Amino acid sequence: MHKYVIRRLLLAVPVLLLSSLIVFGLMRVMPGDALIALMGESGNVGQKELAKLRKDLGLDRPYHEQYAIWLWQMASLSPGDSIFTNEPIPVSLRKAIPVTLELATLAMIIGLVIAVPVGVLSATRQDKLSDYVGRVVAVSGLSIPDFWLGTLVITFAAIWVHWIPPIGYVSLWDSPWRNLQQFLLPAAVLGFRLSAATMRMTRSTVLETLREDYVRTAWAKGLAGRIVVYKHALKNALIPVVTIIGGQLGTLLAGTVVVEQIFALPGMGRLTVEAILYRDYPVVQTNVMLVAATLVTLNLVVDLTYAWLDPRIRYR
Amino acid sequence: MIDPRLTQSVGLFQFAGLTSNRLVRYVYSDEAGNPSDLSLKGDLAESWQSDSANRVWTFKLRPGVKWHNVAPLNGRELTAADVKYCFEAYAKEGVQTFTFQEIEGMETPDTYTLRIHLKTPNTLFAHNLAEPIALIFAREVLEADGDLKKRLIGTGPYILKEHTRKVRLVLQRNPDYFDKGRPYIDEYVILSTPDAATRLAAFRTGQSDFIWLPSPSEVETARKTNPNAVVQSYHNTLAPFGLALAQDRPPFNDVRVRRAISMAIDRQKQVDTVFEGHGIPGWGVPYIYYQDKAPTVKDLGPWWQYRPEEAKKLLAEAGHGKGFETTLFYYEYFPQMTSQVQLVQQELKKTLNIDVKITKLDYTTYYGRYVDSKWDGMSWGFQSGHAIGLDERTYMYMHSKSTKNFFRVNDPVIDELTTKLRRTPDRAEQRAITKKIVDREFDQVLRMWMPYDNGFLVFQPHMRNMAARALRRTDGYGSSTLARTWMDK
Amino acid sequence: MATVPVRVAAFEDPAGAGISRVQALWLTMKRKPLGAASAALLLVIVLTATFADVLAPYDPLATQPEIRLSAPSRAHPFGTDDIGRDVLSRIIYGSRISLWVGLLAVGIGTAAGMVIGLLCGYCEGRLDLIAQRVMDAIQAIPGLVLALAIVSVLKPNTTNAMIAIAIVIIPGNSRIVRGAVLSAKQNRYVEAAQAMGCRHPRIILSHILPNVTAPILVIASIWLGNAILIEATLSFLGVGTQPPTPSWGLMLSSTGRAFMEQAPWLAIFPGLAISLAVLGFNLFGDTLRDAWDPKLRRQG
Repeated sequence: MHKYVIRRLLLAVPVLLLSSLIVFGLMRVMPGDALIALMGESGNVGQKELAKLRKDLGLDRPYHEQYAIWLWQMASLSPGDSIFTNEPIPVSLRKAIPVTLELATLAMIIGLVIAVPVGVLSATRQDKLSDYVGRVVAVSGLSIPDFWLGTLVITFAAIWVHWIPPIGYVSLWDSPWRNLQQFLLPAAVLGFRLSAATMRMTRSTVLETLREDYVRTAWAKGLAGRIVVYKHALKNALIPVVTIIGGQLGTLLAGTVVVEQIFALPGMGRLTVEAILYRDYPVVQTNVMLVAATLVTLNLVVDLTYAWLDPRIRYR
Repeated sequence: MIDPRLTQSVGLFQFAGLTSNRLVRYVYSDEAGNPSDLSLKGDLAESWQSDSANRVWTFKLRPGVKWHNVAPLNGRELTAADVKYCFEAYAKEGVQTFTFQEIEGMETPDTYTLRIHLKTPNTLFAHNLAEPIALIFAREVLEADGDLKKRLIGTGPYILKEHTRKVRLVLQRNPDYFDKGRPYIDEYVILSTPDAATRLAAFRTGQSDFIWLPSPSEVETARKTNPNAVVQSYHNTLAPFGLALAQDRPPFNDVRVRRAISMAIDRQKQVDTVFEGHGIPGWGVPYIYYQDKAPTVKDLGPWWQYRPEEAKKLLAEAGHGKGFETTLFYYEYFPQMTSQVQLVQQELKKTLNIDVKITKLDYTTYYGRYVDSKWDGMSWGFQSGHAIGLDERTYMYMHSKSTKNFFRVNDPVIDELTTKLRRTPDRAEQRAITKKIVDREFDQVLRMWMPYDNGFLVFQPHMRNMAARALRRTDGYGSSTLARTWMDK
Repeated sequence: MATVPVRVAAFEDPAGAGISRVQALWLTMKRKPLGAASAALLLVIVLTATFADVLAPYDPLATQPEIRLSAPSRAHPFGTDDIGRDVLSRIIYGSRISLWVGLLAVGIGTAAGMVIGLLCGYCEGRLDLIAQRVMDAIQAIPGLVLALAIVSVLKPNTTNAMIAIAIVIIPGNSRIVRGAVLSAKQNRYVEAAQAMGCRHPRIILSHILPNVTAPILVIASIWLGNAILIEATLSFLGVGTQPPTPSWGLMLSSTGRAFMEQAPWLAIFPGLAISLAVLGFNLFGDTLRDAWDPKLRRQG
């Protein structure tokens, strides 16, 4: 077991390095320059001023030097400042991460609360009407673009209920009630999509588990057996669900990009997208690395859990 | 935040206009004689005059103006030396160097007097100083911080209390403001809301107090949920956007090609359809500087009428009878712009067989490419948002040597006329010269202006004294108007 | 790395009835109406895209600003957009764009993923180790962010959006193929073939490939739906398809949202089109899985 853990950990390092290289390379190849965004709708900042700014920000050094510098900054946990705002990146991260974390957590809770019961129901009543309804609703959730759902929600909340979440983010500690009001709708929008994907997976894994021999035997034993079956089947079926959550994390983080924009939440998604559009290299690189590291870590945890529960996997 | 020396961005000036003052300013709506009244009033200056040659300008500051009671200024008094410092800084680096490098030297004979010597005569110099971007900032901040990005301290009606990026800006009333009694509103909050649908929803639910809407149908939908909202129908005196052509090289350096393209575009139809009748066909210099009524399409001259047959003939004369291919890049400032771009593309294809390939870009790429002035083909380009002054709109934007000449105008007649303009003190003569400049612009199609909306400002019913006037809305660059607003709640 | 458990069928024909894949699919569709419905839906979309020139009543690019924002009527069953173009015609031609986006993105992504997965799974060893790490590295970057970055590097247009989406798809696909290959290799036939001295390409083609196509097609069909959604989101962020192209994603994210209250049909129809297409692809993928997954098949 230990060897498995160590092996997986060691493999994670080159993966992260490769990710960083990919992101770094992409950002440098993009046309346009971070400095342009700084000028707003101005006349010319003369070529001299531009050159000076570029030098100050270290953008005139050769690429491999820039990469090495940045790697060193990341390793020493001091990623530097944003080109656009001059704000130290750790400061902006400290403000943005809690927002996205809260959004993702609430969305996941809402998603699971909807998905698991409906998935189980769908599986146990396979091919009946409730199964069809459940599946169609689930797939609809996957088919509606989230920017569309978000727009509909905020527009019709204003028109029908004459209420929208209070704009102007406040943190959970400062004002819990207002904060929850702000996160309710966006988390619901994200959670709905999440539940759609999770529902179908839950359904299929429960279906498979129900077909297992030990389950069929228990069924044959009668009523008491059925309850035992539900307990066992559910437990085994939920293991892959944990896996599914890991798989959905990437989608979830991508979904926050759109939702944060529409509901005016200053999270990581919005920060990253704007940084890409403004060519704010340090911010993009740091953010993406942070997310990548998180995903890799979480996947590792999921895999380890999987290996711990199912001994066969360890010895591959 | 962005350093005011380095930008003209409205994102900064929508609140910098409230924290800081300029030397002189334009009249507020409640002082104005009519919506087109553009007379100057003193802001930090009490009075000013120039010598007969318009080369030496003397400004007398009002005494007793205090900087914000915030460290390191701590409410000390404003002096002429402070203003001199700012102007020297603007001349040294940033986007206003072109304007301030015209200053040969400055003196402060006493605490409240500033005398400026210009290199060449400019009768409109005071107007240049009234631009919303010519803010007087605090020298101590620049010296301590090395830049103006972190702190914004001024002499204005509001103090910047909180600035959380991407969330909100909070401005609080300055109790020591020199205009005693004002401002009336204690706190002004600007909420960061990137999405248009969300902004409208915020207005509808009372979370914001006013909003800008481009078209009558959008105003109607807002009114459906908010029947008591007050609507001000705005009237633009110029169009900020036009079809910018790379006219320093073929094929657009041929005036016949430009005229042909201009005649192939039905401007009136765009006004009637895309802007639902509430728009202007487009011209570059604010008309109030040379005539009293807004021009109609007919007034713009022969090359601005929709005459597709003539256009075809003219293009053939210029040697492009079969048409050609070109590109157009733009940034969607508002949805109607995309409608316009596509309409123009269709018209050019149908009438002149000019194949325009559209590229919609993100703001950074668009802006960088446009301002660089090296692009080829076409762009849906801008002059600039903030400028009110006549000199700014003519000399600064059209002179061949100017760094703000994004349309790449290079015409000796224009150069001569705009230089003459800033040496002409007589108002009537100014109007005549301006008319000549504009006529030349239209005749040679030096900048191909496109229709633009007139727009509407929609206010919650409790807002008072908030009307916008010519060249100045109440948000954005016109934010200083808010100092005179109050609410009945 | 955690994966979605897609069952890989070593097609051993447990029912012993000797039926082909296609027949299995047909039977499944007959049994499950949802599957048949989704297949029909997809057929409609493909036919619409193919015969767009004949079906569309107007030129999708022809502008008539005088009748802009008109509600659905006999002359224009889906209404007109902000510059008077017929929405129905644009939806019809939009099916071409969406299919094009989907097929190219998924085609490239799947083909590349298959090649990588096949090589990795069959050869194992160092090649496998390195390639899998590269795939992990790409997958560690959230898909939308990666696509956004790639499109920002290339010019923003439909083709580059497809390339970006293809790159996002490749790692996942390669992993599935690799898994399929690994488990297929344990098949007795393969061992026997190797013992007999069969050459590698032959082994791959005859024994491994057939087991790989099933899961690939299932995933591909679901990704076709996703590709359309990602393209729509890229358009929302401003870096996707260019005007005046009649792509459903562009229609929904720009004019649909901008004129939502004055002209709701501008959003309803593209939104419906996108949703139905994605729905169709997803359900069809489900049906494929149901048809070709032997374990489930056994239950009849």
